[in-house]
Amino acid sequence: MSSSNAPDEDAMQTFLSILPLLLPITYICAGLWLSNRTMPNLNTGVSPSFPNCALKIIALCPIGLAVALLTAQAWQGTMAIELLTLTYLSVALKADLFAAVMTVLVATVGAICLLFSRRYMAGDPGQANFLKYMVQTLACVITLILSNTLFLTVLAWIAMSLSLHRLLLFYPERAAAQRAASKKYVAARIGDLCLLGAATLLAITFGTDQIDTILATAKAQESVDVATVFATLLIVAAAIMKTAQFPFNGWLIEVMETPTPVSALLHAGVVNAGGFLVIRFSDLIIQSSEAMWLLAIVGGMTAVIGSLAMVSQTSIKVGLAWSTVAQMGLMILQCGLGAFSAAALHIIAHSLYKAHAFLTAGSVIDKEKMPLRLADWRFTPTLLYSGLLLIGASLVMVLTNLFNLNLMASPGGILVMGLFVLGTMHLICAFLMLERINITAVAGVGVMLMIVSLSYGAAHEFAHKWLGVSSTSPDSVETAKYVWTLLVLFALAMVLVIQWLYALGTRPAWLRSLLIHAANGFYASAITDRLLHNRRRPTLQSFSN
Amino acid sequence: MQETKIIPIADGQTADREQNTFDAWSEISIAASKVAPVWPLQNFVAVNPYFGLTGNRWIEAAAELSVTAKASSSMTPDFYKKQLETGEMTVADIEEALESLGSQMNPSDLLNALDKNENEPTALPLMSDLYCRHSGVEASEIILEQMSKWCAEYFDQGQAVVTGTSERDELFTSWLEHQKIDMTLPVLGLADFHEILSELANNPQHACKKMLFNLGLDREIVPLYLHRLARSVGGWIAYARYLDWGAQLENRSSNIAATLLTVRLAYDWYCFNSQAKIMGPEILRQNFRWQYPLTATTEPSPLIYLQEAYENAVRRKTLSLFRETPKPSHAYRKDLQAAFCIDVRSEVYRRSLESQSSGIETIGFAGFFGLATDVRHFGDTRQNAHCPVLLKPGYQAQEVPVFAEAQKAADTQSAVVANWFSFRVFKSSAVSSFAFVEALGLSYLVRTITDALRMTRPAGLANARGMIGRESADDVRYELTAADGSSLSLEQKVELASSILAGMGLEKDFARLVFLVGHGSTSVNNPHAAGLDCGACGGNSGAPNAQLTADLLNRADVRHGLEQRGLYIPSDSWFVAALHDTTTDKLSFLSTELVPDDHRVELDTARRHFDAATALTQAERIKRLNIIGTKTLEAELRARSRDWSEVRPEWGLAGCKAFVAAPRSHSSYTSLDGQAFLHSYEYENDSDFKTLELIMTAPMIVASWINLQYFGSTVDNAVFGSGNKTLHNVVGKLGVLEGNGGDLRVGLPMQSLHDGKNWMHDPVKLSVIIRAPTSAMNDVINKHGMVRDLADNGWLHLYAMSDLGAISHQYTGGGHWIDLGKRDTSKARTVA
Repeated sequence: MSSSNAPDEDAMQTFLSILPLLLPITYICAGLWLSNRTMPNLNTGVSPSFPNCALKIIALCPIGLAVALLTAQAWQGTMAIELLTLTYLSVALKADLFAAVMTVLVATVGAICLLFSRRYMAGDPGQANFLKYMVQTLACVITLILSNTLFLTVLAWIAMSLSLHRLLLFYPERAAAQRAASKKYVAARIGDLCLLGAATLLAITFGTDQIDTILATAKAQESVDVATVFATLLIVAAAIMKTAQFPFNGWLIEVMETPTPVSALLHAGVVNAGGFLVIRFSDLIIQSSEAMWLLAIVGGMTAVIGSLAMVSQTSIKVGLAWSTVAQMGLMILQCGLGAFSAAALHIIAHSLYKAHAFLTAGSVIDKEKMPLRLADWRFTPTLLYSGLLLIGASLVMVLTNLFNLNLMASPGGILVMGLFVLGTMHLICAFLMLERINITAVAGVGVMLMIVSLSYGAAHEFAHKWLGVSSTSPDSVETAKYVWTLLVLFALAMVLVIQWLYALGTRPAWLRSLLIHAANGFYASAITDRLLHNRRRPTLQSFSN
Repeated sequence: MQETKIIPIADGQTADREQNTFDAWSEISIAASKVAPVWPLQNFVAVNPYFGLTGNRWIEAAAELSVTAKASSSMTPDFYKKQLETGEMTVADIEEALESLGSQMNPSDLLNALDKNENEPTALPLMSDLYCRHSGVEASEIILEQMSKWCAEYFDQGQAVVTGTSERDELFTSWLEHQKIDMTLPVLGLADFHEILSELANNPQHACKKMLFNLGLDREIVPLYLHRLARSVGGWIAYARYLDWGAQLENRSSNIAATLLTVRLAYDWYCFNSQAKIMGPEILRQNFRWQYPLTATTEPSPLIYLQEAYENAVRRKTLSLFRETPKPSHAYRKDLQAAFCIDVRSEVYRRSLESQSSGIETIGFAGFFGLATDVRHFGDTRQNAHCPVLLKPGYQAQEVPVFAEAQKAADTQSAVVANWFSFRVFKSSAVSSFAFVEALGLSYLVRTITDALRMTRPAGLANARGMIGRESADDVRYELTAADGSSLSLEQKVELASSILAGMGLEKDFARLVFLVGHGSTSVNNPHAAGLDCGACGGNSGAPNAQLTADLLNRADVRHGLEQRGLYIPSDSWFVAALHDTTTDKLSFLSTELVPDDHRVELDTARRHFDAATALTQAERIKRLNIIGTKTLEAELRARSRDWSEVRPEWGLAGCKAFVAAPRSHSSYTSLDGQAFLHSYEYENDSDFKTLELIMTAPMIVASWINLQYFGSTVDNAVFGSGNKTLHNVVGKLGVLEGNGGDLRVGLPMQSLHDGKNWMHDPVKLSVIIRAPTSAMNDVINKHGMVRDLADNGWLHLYAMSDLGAISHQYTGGGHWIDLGKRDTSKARTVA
């Protein structure tokens, strides 16, 4: 920050430094205001009422603050404020670029969900409580994002999962809700313990609980000691729990037991807190090859398993939940490969998409009324091969030259390019399988491919250059990482092949078995239920008594 | 106790030889047929949830359902107490109900009994319940989830990209193979599931024989047990019943529901065998058997009497609206006639329209205008039946665009659809969705904001179907052909036109403009949207039917043919199709460019009348939809119809309680509050009572189904309704689950019945008022079992209207009627 002695500049500085504080305070106040309040029932005749207008303010005001924060950050650089300085128990906020972008994201998704709930939950006696828990959850997420001390981070982390727990049990009488919540509760407590352990280790090792100081020190170090490695592993473990990585994903796919806006908020704003944590501590984590490997392995596995499970789900919301699992797996894998900027992009893009997807889950029948359905696939091989290879290859060339993504420079780069090739090939194949293709359709799909390629490249370029998230330098990467990346890409390509075989009507017995296991999420959730005794009741010695 | 031999389960041969005492498969089929079908969401029409049980008196059915489905058939005690407090219902009503149901109790005993809290129905146990009690594993819930998951995969209409099973395989075999691979049950603690399952034959009929024999139940309790079993996965059995229904309309034999019940039986049979290994089969059988009553019906719960009393009270109020009215002055040519659907929502609109001018006449008729047709939308290979689900479409209509040349429109559309399809695959497939999210995820910020601000819809308007350049519903026409696609001869067209006009009772005094008003609804993000559309058109918009009918009746050659049959339509009469949007109460004219120039002035006048009627109808809605904000009424209704977070876009048919088949002049003098189905009918013109027969077998039954759907969903939303809309999770593109899993849900969501404070529907059964001789009605009742069941068993209440319009007779069952004029004098004292 520039230093100046002019009094108005000082005042400006003071204002800017309290700016990060305003966001959590707004949410906390909103939460307090909503306590013990009943929302007027929109269906039973009330004139324009104060609580309803206030809800709009509660939802929209944080967006304004977050945008202000982002603007100020872009203009003045990182802002920080210390509120309480105690040994290991300090409270301080800091808004760097990535944190500021994340606050805009969370405030926006939060606002959409809150405003959606205004009519959606109208008439529910618990509407005010529902909104309160949502606002509380948002307060915790925002605090976590802006926190600059270990103490505050742990606090926000735990509080977030506790307020989320109340949302998951919004209809406490539902047995399935209790089961999901119990799984979530266990996963969250393990995550809490991990984070608490990590924070303690880091505080003791580095002698401070200021996150930016710890990261700066770590960055300057040549090598890291065992305690730090252990701490990074614990952070990663906490992130794995929070982002519902396989096999700890049971709770996430079963939270449809609570109203839709909760799912939207959870999948778009809360589940990726783990990813945020990893990115926040990336300077520390990249120093520990063990932690990076843990991320890469768990993330890669989850991405593959999640992908397969996602396409075998028969209900819209569970399908979307599995899609989140797969996407979070990919994001964690990107972290493990050192592609933190790609992971950051993934968090933001996925949040926006998934919030929309959940809120519009009721439109699936409307969409079904369109004349063509996914079942109408045909195979036209010559077109397929030529089109596939030609267009796929040319796209990669164009993209690489346009955005200079250093194709072979890092495993993360390979993953990004590989996913692009697989995705666009799938699009082209689907198109080529259609029975009637006319020239207008070809032009249309060409434009579509162009838009997809350009925006893919642009998004990554944006994330790389402008999100303020650093990725690892290529020279620090082991060869095994390349192998692992290629293995994961191969497995993902196999998942695509499975979809192809299936679409073309080739369904051998092994494929059917695989799909049955995949639809069950490879029993991770059932095994967790068994371990937690979720499916048991007290027995009667003799029921005739 | 019946002697039962213990058969080792491996010994299927022995079992086969010993079990010829009864036909297991027909028992299964009968039990499955007790469950009412449910239509998929795309054509979500009302079904009587008690269909399959209407052969019983409703009180008996209620008693059976309370033990088999754990269903309540009445409201909570508080509800009735409130009715007593507000005076809606009186103690005299309770006395009357007790007397009519033959109870010795007096009202105060009854009210005291309410406080005992013994009114919760409890279901009979299944083998899986016993298994749970002994082993501690929640077998019933696990089985329900497992079976629901498998059914969703088997019946899936395209939600899953890949599944391990397919509807193309034989159901039972497919299930067996699937279950032998699926590890869920063993993982959850039902360890020997695969081992025991391997004893089962692939043939469901053999399997069910063997299983029922193994269970060793007394013959007397088998029907009750199987009914209970069917209700434990009632939602999916209901869907299977829908598939069987469709097959039956096409004269195919189909027993999907029975096979599905066999699947559920197999799980129960597994529980029996698994537990029998521990405690021995005979003890288990004994334990099981003694919990089943030998006679199903028990003393009705006190709440049933109160329900009966409440219904009496509400019905009295409804009937009191009708009185003798002078016959309208001699018929003369009206300025404007408009035929509406009998739907209760039309009543408000018709009343509003009639109030505009004395020269306006309205007619009530089923909204498909007697034209049972399949509609094939432009560019679509699927077809949609636009007729009541009781009928099989006899025609086919092809949608044709008029906004562009057909070939050009088809090319554009196929390109749009091809691109849209490729994009959907890219977006929703595994792996490619990773690239999709990174490339286009950010753009959803804009999409979300425009959707939230109602500038865009999450899914395109269903009726636009990818047609670029199409601006309104007015941009298409329909071409009518025979069901097989061959063109209709003039003779067939004349026959059709003549039957339509006869059904409407519109055979003379045609006005210069005759409007045929279909109806549809507009809502966003609403899986149950089809439930708000025209039920008589199979849960679709009535616009195609209205357009087709108007086109048919405007044809000169058809009119000429009609004239030869003695039905003269003046050459200056013109039929105009229109669409009533029941969410906004807007009414739009269709195909107006076809209207002859010399009718333009009348058309403009009509537009003004309809606009004024729209405003009046909207104003009447304030009573039910409490409008908030400073926006105008119209803007608010429009906003509601476009809001993606709106779970109560309109109240649909909530409140429906009466069906009137009489000339409009016998109901037009009073407000029926949007609670009555109004069918125009004049028996004087119905010489052989063919039209009466049609009315009582089609529209009346449909109205009763709708009424009972609302009734069931109100008295027990957990069993007959689909629960909380905010938890709905569309499964297999065919139905909803509430939350994560559980059974497929049927019926109406809570949000369609309750505004968070009050019920929007009064749970009373339909009062049917028909102005026709009682003898003619008796003939129809005797001829049609379905009508007889409904009328004789208390599923609806039938009344005859006198020639002058007073309610004169009440049907008491078995062809008997009582004269209300005579009874009223003696009853008046008691009621007062």
